[in-house]
Amino acid sequence: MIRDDRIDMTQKQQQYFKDFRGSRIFFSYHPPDKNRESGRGILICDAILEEKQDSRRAMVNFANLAAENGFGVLRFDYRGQGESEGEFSDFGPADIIEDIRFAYRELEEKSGTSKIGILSLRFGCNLAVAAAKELRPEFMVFWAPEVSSKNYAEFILRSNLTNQLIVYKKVIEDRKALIRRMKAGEIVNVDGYGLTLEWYEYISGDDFARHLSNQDNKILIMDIDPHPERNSRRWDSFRESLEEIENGWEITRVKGDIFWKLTPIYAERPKEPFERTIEFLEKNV
Amino acid sequence: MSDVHKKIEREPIDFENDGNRLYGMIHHPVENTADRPAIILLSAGLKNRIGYGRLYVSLADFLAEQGFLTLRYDYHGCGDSDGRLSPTGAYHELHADINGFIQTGLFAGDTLRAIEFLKEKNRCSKFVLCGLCGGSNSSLYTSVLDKNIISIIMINFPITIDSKLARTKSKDSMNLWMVEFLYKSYLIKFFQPGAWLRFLTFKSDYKSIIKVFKTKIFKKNPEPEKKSSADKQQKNNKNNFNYDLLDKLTSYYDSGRNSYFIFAANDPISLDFETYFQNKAGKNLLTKYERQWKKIIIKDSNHSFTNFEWRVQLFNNILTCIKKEMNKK
Repeated sequence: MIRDDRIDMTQKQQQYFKDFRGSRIFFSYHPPDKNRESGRGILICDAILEEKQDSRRAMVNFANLAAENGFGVLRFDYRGQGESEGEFSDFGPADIIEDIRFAYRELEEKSGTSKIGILSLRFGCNLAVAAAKELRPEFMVFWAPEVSSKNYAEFILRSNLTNQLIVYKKVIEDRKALIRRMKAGEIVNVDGYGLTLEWYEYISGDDFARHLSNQDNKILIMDIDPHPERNSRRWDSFRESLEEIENGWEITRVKGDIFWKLTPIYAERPKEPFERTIEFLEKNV
Repeated sequence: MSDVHKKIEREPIDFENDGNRLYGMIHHPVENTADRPAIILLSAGLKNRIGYGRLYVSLADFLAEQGFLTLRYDYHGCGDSDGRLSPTGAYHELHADINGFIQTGLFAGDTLRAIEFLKEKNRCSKFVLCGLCGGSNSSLYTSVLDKNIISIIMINFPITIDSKLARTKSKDSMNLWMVEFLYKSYLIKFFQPGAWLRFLTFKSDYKSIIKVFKTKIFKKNPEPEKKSSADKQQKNNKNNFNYDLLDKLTSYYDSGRNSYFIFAANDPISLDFETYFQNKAGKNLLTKYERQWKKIIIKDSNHSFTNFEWRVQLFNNILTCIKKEMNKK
């Protein structure tokens, strides 16, 4: 674990709401260390659903670390998630992509710079890269992106099935039945969030590698695994699917505990992901 | 619940405790209901103030809609707040290690400060603490330190201690964070006539005052008190049962206050409570104070109340408990 005491000596975060299309979005701005100001900003795009909650502490710690390194950092909660207004099912993926663009403009205003990069986690990577087509950020960092969307969609529904096993001691509604229900316009409960057909289809059909083909900025794509020395078919097939790797792109697998799920390890400051990201920023920005 | 979100004014707030800035959210009631108690929702273990599946956001909106000012906040080292969780001075990586300390009152100091903050900022004078899992332990451990807490609602209340580290800690010893908290509060009280009146009329906790100042002056860790019955029981403990709960609940009920236990039917914690507490270690205590506690079960529910219908039941039960306390003379 990082034992860098600088992380604890944080400047005060500025937490506030701002209206966007009739709903309030929650922002948290970490101002840069005045002695190390880099004139650059980082927008953090979180994971979605419960992964967003479970990773919150690590994202806050990274935001503090980046602020100590001179970046103005903006975290925010998508509409219908975290502290922001509404329910998850009230907003679709297109709305969340709009939220990212809105937050990007907010960071430009807050930090007074247009030199902005995006750091994203898990499915937040997929949403951020979709939003970036219009934004053209200076750099992008992707942590543990969901490179196999179909697997991720199945994983989400599995949570509902597990819940059925706990309550009824058997599965009374299998995957197909859940999808049928969403097709009939109902929502399916996933860890307390209402999953809609729109979300399910977007997640199942999304292709992270294809989105990347339009990017010409500095990019760090980092898979985070407690055992990076082991082969990952999923990761290998993602690398093969990339048509070309641009100059200034780094694609790597690093050792790190899974900090976006509740596991026995309290991984609030994953050492290698933090260090490699700061190295990338120092080298490229 | 979507419409409720729209009506409620939420205010991001922050306050300091023990050198850490703690961040939170106040949900303001729709109508001005100053005579009602403020509700503080205490996060479960290392979960942040938002809760499992945004449970606490919905619950706080619901309570504010019913006329109660409600605060959710992140403890030090959790969520958005500053600090690092190192209850023994060493850094721990395992959830269970930290949970053990939460189950024995790690966040009572932060919660006392949250109460002080609401007293100063919103002129609240009475409080109901409500917490899920580790949050219910935080409710109990704080309630014995402040009589302005009129009631506690403990949801999925754990009766065991997860961590060996916390189990081996002497149960009645005063932690350094508690020393620091009490020291600051005594300094403030030095200028309060009411505090002097309590001191001179033998109503103060002299033992704590002596211990706090002794620790501050001689700069050494507070000495553990003589072994209590809870300590002796803890030593021979085979089920990791938290015997300290017996002392805390006795002290709480002796002050005449009521508590509520709400359990999710499908949470193993519910079975633990029934088997090891209700029918065993806590049987005599619960019999002695039978008029001061109530147990409520939410049928079918899991630990985190993920289904919407379970949440509706949970919220309505919490509201009933609070209203009952308000009507109590």
